[in-house]
Amino acid sequence: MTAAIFFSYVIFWLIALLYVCGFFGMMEHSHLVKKLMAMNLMQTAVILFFLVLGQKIGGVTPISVPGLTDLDAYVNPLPQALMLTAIVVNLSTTGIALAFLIVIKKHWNTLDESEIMRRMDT
Amino acid sequence: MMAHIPVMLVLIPLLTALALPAVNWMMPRLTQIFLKSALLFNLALAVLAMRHVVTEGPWHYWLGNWAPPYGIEFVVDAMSGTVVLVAATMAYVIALYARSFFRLDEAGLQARTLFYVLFTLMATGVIGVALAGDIFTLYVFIEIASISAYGVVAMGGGRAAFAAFRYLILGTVAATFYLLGIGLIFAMTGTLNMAQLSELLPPLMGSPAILASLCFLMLGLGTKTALVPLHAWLPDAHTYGPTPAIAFLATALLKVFSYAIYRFMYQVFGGHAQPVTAMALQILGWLAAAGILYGSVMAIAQKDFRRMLAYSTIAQISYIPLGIAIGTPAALAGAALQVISHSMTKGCLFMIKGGMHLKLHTTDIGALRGMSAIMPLSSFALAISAFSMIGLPPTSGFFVKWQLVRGASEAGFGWMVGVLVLSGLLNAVYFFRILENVYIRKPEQGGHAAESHGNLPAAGPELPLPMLAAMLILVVGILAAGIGSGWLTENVFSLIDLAGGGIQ
Amino acid sequence: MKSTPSSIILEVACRLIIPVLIVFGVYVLVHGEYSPGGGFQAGVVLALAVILKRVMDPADTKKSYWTYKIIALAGMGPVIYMLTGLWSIPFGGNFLEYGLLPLPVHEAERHLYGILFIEVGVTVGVMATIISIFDSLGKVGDPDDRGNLL
Repeated sequence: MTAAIFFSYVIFWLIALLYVCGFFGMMEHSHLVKKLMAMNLMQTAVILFFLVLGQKIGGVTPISVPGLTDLDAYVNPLPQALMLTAIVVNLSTTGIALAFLIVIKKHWNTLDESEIMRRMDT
Repeated sequence: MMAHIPVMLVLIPLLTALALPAVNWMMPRLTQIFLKSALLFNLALAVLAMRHVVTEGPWHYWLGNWAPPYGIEFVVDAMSGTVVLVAATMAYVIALYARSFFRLDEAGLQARTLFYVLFTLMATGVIGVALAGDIFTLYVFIEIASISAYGVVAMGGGRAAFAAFRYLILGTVAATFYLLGIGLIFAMTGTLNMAQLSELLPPLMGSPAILASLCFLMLGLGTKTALVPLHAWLPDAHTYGPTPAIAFLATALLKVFSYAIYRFMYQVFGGHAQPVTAMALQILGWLAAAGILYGSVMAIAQKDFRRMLAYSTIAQISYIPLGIAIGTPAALAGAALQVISHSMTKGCLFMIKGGMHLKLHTTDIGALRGMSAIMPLSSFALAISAFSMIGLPPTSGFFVKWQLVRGASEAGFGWMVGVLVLSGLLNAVYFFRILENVYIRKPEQGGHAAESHGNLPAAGPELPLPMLAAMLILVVGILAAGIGSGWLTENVFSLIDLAGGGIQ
Repeated sequence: MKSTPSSIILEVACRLIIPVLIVFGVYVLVHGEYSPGGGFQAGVVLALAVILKRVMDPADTKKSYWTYKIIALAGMGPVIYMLTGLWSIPFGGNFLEYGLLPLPVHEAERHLYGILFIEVGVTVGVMATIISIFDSLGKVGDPDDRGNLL
């Protein structure tokens, strides 16, 4: 019984694994670029979660095929439209984070978080 | 035109921010006039919107004329109108202040137009969060406000870039939590409109998905509103960022996320009527009380004026979740009044800090000795703001504490009354120390206050006139909000809608 | 980026690919309703065409007229979006109400045109933003970097 529950939701388990990997990566690494990459991993996991919510068994991509008017044949397009916006937000965040990293590297000559915090306190 | 005010409130700052680089390229002299007149016009629209809410009730505006839940709507009601009015006021007053500040700042920003672009985008984001009527539009505006905030904090130099990077990481994790929370709500109900969710969610409140969604949303929004223990990004960001940016961040940005918590707790999740939400509100109350005490205690230990203001912000911002957690109409009136009062108080304090930085070249509290001799108007503004923080009548800070104490004792939370009184006393400790330095102590021989005038001419007004004007506007506002708080409570805050979830 | 001459294979390949990218970008924009596509995707593809030229010939970044003005263009994109939305207000509609745009076509087609205009604005904005990100990230450390970290 538990095996059946586990395997019918396996995609959600994988998404959760991706999310937790990203979160753990952000806590674990002290190099700022690795933190940024782990953050991207978390954001990708949430986007996949939303996309999975719209799926239907036997559904096709929500672009209208002439002649196919049954609503249940198409996958729900609303999460896909929402996630377009979320992807663009992630792009801006990554862009601005990379700009910050360049400024930090130029100012402190290191990208290690513990080293920078040690120097900021002195 | 009048009928489209809710969408114009968001569009005017957005158009200003986006058109500003082009205006600066083609007609550089018109940049400041364009910016300030647009922000002033937006302030006028915010006042008109509030008047409509007070006289006729909540205002729903449908984008594209599609009825919700198919379409997106913007909602102006008592609480969101207050937040929008405060954001529009602070945007205009700080824009007045910022121009003279940057002209005199030695380590000045080169690309000043880009600063104003990000600043106006922050204002757009804040107004949009307050007006949004469905939870995904809220996410979009949260991100607009936050990304602009990350950028504008980083404009203070090398240390500020690292503080902004930490803010970015924590803020984006918070946004990811928020997105996960609304994903779970969408999975359970299939809709994103807040009004429809308030009808669909009550039978589903017992499910684990909704409980997880509540936790994720509170964590996400709590980080963005600097709720203890999620406040770690705030002290560094406030210490190193440029003054006008940090003034807007502390006064409007942090508050609008508390407003979002209120909106979720009472309208979407049902408030005290649902046991799960009532427990969440109780935990919010504990965290807010912890934040008040932690911020006040840590502020006493600081020697740098900027870092002291940062911890004081953590303490004062936590009054709003405290009012939300208590849930009586008086407590929510106190929270709304704190939105108004703290904005003006903290804005004034940050402007004074900027003045200190320009004139005395330092932000050390010990260097403030004898400031009243060379900067009399700023010292007067500092005194009024300090009284408002401590909670002395007739400034608005007193009425905030009074309403919150009334709400807490009505709901039976006696310990919160103690926390509020204690926070007033702790605020008094560090503010009286500053006032003593400013007014009573004589400057040391050869100390900062006696000799330096910064880049300013020795004769003439102590600070440029726009900066003084901005400070005095806020001081008048503090006193007016205090004296008029009774009128505000009866006419405006009594309209705050608790959607059946409050304690009477 | 140093101004080293790039290899001839790269140059010829880019000379073939860049026009195709631009045409494909416009195709993706206009076919947003009939196939996967739309404003954001088209903006990225068009930006890629310009970025490919910059990768191929790094000196192009300095010669380009648009290097510091690209941010103004990035702002103008969403302004087009908003002006389309505001266009229906004088004719009695709400913001972004495409059915009341003053175009001499059937009402259902007005929605198509409205969305097309909006997507054009989004494309211009996204394209200019990505090019400006590429330019400013690549410019730090250049000999003619202005020196201020902003």
